[in-house]
Amino acid sequence: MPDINEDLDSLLAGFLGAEEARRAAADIRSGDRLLSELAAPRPGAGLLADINGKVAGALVARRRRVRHRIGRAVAAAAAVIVVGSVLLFFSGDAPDQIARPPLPPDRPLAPRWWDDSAVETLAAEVDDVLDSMISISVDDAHIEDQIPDFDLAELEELEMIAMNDDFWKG
Amino acid sequence: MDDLEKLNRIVAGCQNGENEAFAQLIDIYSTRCYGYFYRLTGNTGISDDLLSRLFVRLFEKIGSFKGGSFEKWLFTIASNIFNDYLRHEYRQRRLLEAHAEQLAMESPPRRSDSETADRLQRQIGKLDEDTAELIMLRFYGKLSFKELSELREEPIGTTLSKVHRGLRKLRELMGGQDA
Repeated sequence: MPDINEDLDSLLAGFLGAEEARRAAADIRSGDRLLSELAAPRPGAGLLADINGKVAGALVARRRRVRHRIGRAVAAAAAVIVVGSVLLFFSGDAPDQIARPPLPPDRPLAPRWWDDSAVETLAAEVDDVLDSMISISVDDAHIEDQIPDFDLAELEELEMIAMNDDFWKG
Repeated sequence: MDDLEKLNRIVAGCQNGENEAFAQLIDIYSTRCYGYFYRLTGNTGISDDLLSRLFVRLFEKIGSFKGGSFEKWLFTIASNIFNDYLRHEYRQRRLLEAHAEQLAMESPPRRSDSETADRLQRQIGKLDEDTAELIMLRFYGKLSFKELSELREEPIGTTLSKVHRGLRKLRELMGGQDA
């Protein structure tokens, strides 16, 4: 019998006469008993294991997608900060520079510690960040392609590769 | 901790992506959902497939569950999956009209508890699809008549009448057997 929280007799009494409602309630309870006692088969253990595996695989894929999104956001933020810093550093129109008194003619524009190799280093860093962003987005697209098929073996392999990468990076 | 509180914790765990919570949810509902699909299709292979689809869809949609009756929400998804299957089956049957009679003969279940249970399955197949589904949603989903009528967007009196007539007919078809 289904364990439903409702007053069947009162419900039926709202639509039918007392005797009719009583008979209808008896019919419904009798039908419920029939279904209870002739139970349907239960799902097999193999089927349940398969479903649990699919859900676990999908969870791994979802976590990976979230990690990639965070990584991409961090990389993008880093790129914006680096590029912004470079632009600010070389901009002659920066507000704090406008407010300053003019430099004496014999003083160099760049600080003493500055040399041209620093520009090359910054440019190389920007290139590295952009390369990382491209490789992350390519990897992410590949993972998303796999999700609807729930290819568990492939997802586990990708997880292992990621774990190995993390291990060698420390 | 009562059952509702326990269920709410499990659902919250699923929404947080906890594998163990999903396993618990599958454990709690797989038998009832399987019974629902089996009683409507009469075939264990199809029921296996529909149950898998149900839990995969549950995983995809659990974030959109905003509270209320979880069972109503779950069995609404199950009903949608069953109706998708029916539409697909209907298209297939139309494509294979020449073999319609043969297809109709292929519906008996491959596995069931007893001969009487097989007979019950055959009699359920004689009810109209809408009534059979309402009866199974009520029995396996434990949905009240109010929830059923909301699900079907019909007056509660109509739902009551369909379920009452369906169960009475089923009992008559079973030869008055009251198990």
